[in-house]
Amino acid sequence: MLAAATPPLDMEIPYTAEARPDTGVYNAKIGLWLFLASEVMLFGALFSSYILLRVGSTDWPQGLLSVPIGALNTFVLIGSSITVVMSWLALKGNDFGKFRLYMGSTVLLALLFISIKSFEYHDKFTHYFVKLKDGTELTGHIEGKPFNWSLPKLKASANAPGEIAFHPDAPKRGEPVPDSPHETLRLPVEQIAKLESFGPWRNTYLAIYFTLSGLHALHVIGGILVMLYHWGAGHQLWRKSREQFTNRVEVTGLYWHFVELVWIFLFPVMYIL
Amino acid sequence: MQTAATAGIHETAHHDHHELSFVRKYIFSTDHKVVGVQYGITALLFMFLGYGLMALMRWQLAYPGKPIPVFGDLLLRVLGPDMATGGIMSPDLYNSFGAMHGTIMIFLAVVPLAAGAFANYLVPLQIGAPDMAFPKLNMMSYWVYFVGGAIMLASFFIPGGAAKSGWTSYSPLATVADLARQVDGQTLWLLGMVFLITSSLLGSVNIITTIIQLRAPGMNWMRLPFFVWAQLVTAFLLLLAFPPLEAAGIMQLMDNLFGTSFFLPTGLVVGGQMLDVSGGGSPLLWQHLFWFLAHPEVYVLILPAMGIVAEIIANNTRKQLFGYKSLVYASMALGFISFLVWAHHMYLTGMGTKISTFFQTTTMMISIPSVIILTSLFLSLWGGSIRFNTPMLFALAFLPMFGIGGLTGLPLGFSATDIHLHDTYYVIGHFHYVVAPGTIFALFAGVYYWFPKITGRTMNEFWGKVHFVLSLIFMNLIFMPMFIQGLEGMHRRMYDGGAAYSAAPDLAHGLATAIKLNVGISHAAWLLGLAQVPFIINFFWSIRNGRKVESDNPWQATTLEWQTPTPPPHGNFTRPPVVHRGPYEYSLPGRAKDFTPQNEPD
Amino acid sequence: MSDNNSRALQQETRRHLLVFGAVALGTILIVLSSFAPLATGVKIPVVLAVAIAQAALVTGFLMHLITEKRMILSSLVLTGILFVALIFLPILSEADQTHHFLLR
Ligand code: HEM
Ligand SMILES: [Cu+2]
Repeated sequence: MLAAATPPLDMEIPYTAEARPDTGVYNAKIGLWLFLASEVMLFGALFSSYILLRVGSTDWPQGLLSVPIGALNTFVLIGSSITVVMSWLALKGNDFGKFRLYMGSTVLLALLFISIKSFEYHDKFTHYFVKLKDGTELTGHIEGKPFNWSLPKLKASANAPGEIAFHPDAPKRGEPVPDSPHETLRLPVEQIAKLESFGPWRNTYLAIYFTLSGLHALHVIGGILVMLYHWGAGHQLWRKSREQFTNRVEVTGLYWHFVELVWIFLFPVMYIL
Repeated sequence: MQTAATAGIHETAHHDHHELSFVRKYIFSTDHKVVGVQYGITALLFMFLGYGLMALMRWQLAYPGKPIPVFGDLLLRVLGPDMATGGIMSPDLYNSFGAMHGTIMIFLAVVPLAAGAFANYLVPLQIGAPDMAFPKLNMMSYWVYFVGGAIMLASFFIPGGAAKSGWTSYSPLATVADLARQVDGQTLWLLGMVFLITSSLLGSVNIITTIIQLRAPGMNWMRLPFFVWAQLVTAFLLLLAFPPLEAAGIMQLMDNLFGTSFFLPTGLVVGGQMLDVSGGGSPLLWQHLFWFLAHPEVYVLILPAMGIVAEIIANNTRKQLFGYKSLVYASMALGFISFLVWAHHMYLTGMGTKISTFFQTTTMMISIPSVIILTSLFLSLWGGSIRFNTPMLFALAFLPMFGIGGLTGLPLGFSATDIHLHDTYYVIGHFHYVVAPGTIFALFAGVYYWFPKITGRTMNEFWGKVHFVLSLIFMNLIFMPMFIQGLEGMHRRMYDGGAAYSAAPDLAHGLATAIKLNVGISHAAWLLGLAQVPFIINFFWSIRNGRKVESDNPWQATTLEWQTPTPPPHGNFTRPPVVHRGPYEYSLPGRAKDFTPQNEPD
Repeated sequence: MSDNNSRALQQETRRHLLVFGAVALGTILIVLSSFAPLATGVKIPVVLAVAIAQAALVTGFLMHLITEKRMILSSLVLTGILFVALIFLPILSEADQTHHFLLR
């Protein structure tokens, strides 16, 4: 009685490929939307933090990021989210070659996005704030474009220079023009009270910018890996079950659109407002 | 004879399809039952550890500054003289243990047991599914939890010790607690939490999808056992409440490692020195994001417990639950409102009156569904012919214990009374009534109740009852006096248990007495530990030697998990189940048996 | 039948390209507004409105939410409500604390 007379059901999880009649969806689609719901709350919390930090700040830096570059990246991402839909439509039209073409382009666009993003990041880590012991505060670049220096690092380095050549930023609109603009300043290291790049530690704006865009970039990278997998190893599943493979590409597309969606808000919030 | 029958049971589990290797079957298994058992055992071990930390702390509270007998020496040897000079618990160690007791109990013990173990094992069985919707994710969910737990454990042994800023990890304290070190206990705490959150995300997506998609034919929404409903709501809470804490955790990690100032205000002075950070951050931001998770988390701790209790009550009263539908709707309301009450933990942060009114209102509103659930469960007893077995005793005790916990929460929900009670032992008493004699009793009930399904043997009734009676007595002896201490003004998280108060020239008489209660509480806490010995022995002994069940359905229950072989094989059901009726069709008139399983046709 | 199918696919492709155009247009509008001499109090709502419109296009058409099943939509509505709470309650309590005009 305890031991079953009939062998157990062969383990098949239902509705992996076809939709369940009463809910109208297959498993992965529900799963992915639930995942996205939690992502909404994740990014929502960060945007909420952004608002709270900004409202509570005395002066919120503006114009630290280049709008044209950000806009370019936005177009790249929008483009990629179209190609990913096209790749899914290609599968629906039973055209695996076309799928590969579009999926491949999506990956390339995503890589382009990451490259542009890392260029922007690099730019921030070679941009410096300097405070001299006499209280003067300067922002600008150090000759030779060193990456992410700080005063302790500078002092600790083996061939520590006695002074640094500093190119101050051009004054922003409305600010008083200094006596000698665009001049290279020679700053003796022992006169410097503080030296830091425009990394996340510089102010809360940059902190939230790096956190939000960094988390977003991680999502892009995750997407690239998944899409590469579909592009490469997709063959096998396509041959085994076209429906299931098409579903996978569909939910990957949903994820990718979400990544774009986050950026649609990130761009204006970080670059424009 | 016994061995032959045991072999029979095991055969069903083993001989279907190709033989899996030991590793695939028991370690990296994708079978929801194995994952459930893995979760259960790991979580029970963590619960033991969480208790152990507190047992040591209770010595320091009862006898401040005295070396801990036996274990003091051990602490000295394992954690070093910084932490336990001469076997005396150092203030830092007290703080670490306190923070880790809370963290371990909540995130590594009770939630994984309630929403990991029980949900994983039972939900697919109760809805008539062969497994979870995403078995591989299910396996990952356990292993990610395991890694998170390992990180938390490792943090005890790094220089500086584990996190010290309470399970709430309030900033800036959490950031400045150990400024000398880049990587400190708090860093590992945050890292561990990221793993635990990921694990719970994987788990909750899986549970929800499974319940929506894999219900057996005929298992429509209003035929789901209440346990499944409770788990569904719980999974939604985990899914949507945890991410904000993950975001907050990432930000605190940035503050700790990269010198950002998300939660560090301008002009922060630590140890007489202005902190060299950009400033401009908001400590309240951490509190908002933390409590956005942590209040719903309370319901993550309690809803599965209610689900378990409901199943056991229906089974042992041999009748329908009173107001099944109102239970379902109340648990949904509970889940939803639990997202809108969080700032009742922040009344003392200088919150304005308007927002405070909003949160007081929602907090009072949320007590309505809780009362509905509790009342329904109480009324379910009415007119039942109750079987007082061990699971039922624990389930019955849950009701008044949770009742005390809930009612003592009301004064904390009003800002006027909370000003007096906030951060005192009253709060400790209140939430422990909910989670310790409340949830933990329900979990014990569940262990005793489903043990026969999992092992094919029952646990010993007599020792079960001993375990129950002793636990009930000591739980109350621990937590009831804490209300008095709190009302007298004794603060929580105090290294010396309030001894410093006695230095005050005008110490109120009540407070002086309240401090003396510490000794009694501590003894009750240690005895509570002793009271678990019968359980532990009973548990392991019964796996091999317990009385064998004579049928697949020893409690004569109606829900589907009892309509499988024992233990259920890979794939669960021998025939695809078809559901014909609601979950609790007990004592239907005109039937031979007093129970009618859900899959029995009319 | 297969002809029908391919025509439907063609139509879908066209619709998606249209959405692409609209979303790209939104970004152009946002960039333009960043150069326009608008007061911050005007710029923020304008830019956010465009971004929300873009988001609606992406979720509605590219993610097919307009034809999605009830099960998924109801989960998302719940998420949306909680999202709004998460965004606005902290900021409202900050406003209440500092007697900001929002909650005077
Ligand atoms: C069963 C025996 C238990 C005992 C004797 C016990 C005792 C205590 C005591 C005395 C404190 C206050 C420590 C202080 O403020 O310095 C405390 C704190 C706490 N306990 Fe327990 N507890 C038990 C079980 C649990 C369980 C099951 C949970 C959760 C599910 C839990 C969660 C917590 C939390 C979150 C705190 C607050 C930690 C902090 O201050 O950050 N405890 N416990
Ligand atoms: Cu709460």
